Amino acid sequence: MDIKQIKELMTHLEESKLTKLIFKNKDYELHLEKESANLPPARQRVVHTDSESAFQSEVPLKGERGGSAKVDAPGSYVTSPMVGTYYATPAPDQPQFVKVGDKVDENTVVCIVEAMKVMNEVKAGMSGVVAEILADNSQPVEFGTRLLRII
Amino acid sequence: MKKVLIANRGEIAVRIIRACHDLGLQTVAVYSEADAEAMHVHHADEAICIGEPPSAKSYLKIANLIAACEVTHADAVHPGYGFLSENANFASICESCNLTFIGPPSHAIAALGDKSQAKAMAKSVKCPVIPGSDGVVRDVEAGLKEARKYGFPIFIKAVAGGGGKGIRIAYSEDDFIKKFMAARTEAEVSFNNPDVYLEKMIVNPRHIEVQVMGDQHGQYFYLGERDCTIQRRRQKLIEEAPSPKVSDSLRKKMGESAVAIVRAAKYHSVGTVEFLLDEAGDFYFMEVNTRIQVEHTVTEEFTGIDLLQQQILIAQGEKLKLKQNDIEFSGHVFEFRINAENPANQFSPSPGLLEHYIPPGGPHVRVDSACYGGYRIPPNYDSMIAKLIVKGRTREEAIRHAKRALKEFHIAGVHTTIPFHQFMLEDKKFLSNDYTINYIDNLLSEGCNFTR
Repeated sequence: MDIKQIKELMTHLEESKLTKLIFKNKDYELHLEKESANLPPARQRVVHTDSESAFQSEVPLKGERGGSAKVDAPGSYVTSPMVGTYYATPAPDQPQFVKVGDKVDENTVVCIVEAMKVMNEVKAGMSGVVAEILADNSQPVEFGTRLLRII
Repeated sequence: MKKVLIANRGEIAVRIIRACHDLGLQTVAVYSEADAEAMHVHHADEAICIGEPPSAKSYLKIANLIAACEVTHADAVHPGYGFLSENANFASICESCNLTFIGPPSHAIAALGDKSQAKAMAKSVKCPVIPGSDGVVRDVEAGLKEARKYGFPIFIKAVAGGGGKGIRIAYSEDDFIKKFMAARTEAEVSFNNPDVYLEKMIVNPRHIEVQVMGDQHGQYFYLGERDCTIQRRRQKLIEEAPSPKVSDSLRKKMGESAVAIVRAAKYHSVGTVEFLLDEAGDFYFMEVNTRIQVEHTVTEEFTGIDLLQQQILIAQGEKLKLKQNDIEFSGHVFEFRINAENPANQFSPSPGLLEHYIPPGGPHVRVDSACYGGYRIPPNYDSMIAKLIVKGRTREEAIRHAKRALKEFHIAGVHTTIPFHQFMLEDKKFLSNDYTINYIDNLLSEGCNFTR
């Protein structure tokens, strides 16, 4: 692969909703990853639910929030209940609240979302095992942003 | 000021975003889950989801709005109209978070938002007011005493009411006794405040409101009146400028009265002072709206002044380069509110999918809207589809342009108020300016379904 092809791949990655691209052949492996420090601009924003169903049913989203994910991975998502900054640890020098593989129940605190210097603990709200952590430490999050996947 | 967060939705959010972009400012839209595909979200530079569809969980959730400013580094907030625009607490919170609130100072919102305080302020600057109780009436006996002074019919109005809600009419002493308690209960439920005041009912009035504007350097201006007499249950449907009942000298008198009131309240930003005009041509102060209004568009087309841009400049601390004598009033302007309502069925709401949406265009026509073909109007908010603003050199010419524009406006999938407007533009009383504030309600009670 020459530098021109790599640049093309980078452009495609930039324009897509993906955050990571791994290209492998028998000679080498190329990993490309996007920084997600800032909230994406409106056009590239991830829509969490199928927009048709958001309008069609009268009580659409409350049901879908706790329920299983539609098209992607198994399990349920813990989503942000507010706008703020996501923190995986109680304080900068302390270990994470939970890691992948940890067991959680309804009241397990899985992270903090901070706004205006107020730290709000977010509880799992369900029992299971942490399958994936989707948010990055100190990432700005909005209402509904997926933070963790629990199975 | 670099980045403005618009704490609103729908057509006014789009209007604010346009003014911000006109001035080179960046914009942040906020949206509930029901508004993920809304136009204001598409037009803004950034967008943040702030909660579930119900307004109380999203557009009224102050914590999420302030947090959204924090994460996007917005340094100003525009509250639009409705929602938190006249919430002095929200304005004050923005001020203490170092966010420029694009509107009046919180103390002025509080002072003028309280209807009995506002009335007292009007009296203090010798503006004629509607005879009524001096402040809150706390019990039925005190109320009856006042009511006998002014005579019936009499209004019982919620001090914290707005948008035409929280108002009862008593026609006799027995009627008053019944309605007084009911009014207090309704006020408690709707506005968290049971306090009511009394106001004499001016018979057969016209609703005339004056657009005012003040900067932070003590300059105040009036930008003429809007006649909003065509209302259904106190919800405006058609607004026009100039008012056919207001002469040049009356315009000046009402304008100067309006300015005196907001000046006394140490107001800045744009605002509207509402009056009633009786059959004798006397005007009476009603209330002040301490926000940009839906029908600001009429004044923009009447004067050529961009009110949203002015509002932002005022908030930035600019000294407006304007002189009252330079403000020109020209032509005749109408605004028609195109709502998702069925005029043939008591204006029942009609949310749903806009299968077709083709707005009119060309000269003399302006459409302010957040709708598009394929957009689904959510049931959680207001029923507005679009505002159609039409201008002409005379009232007759404006009416001709309006008929043409309404004919071109093609909306399918929901019921709209377009047939209502087309009906009115052929109505004898409308055409001859022979109507008052109760006209539409009277037509409705006579069984009119606004079709020919």
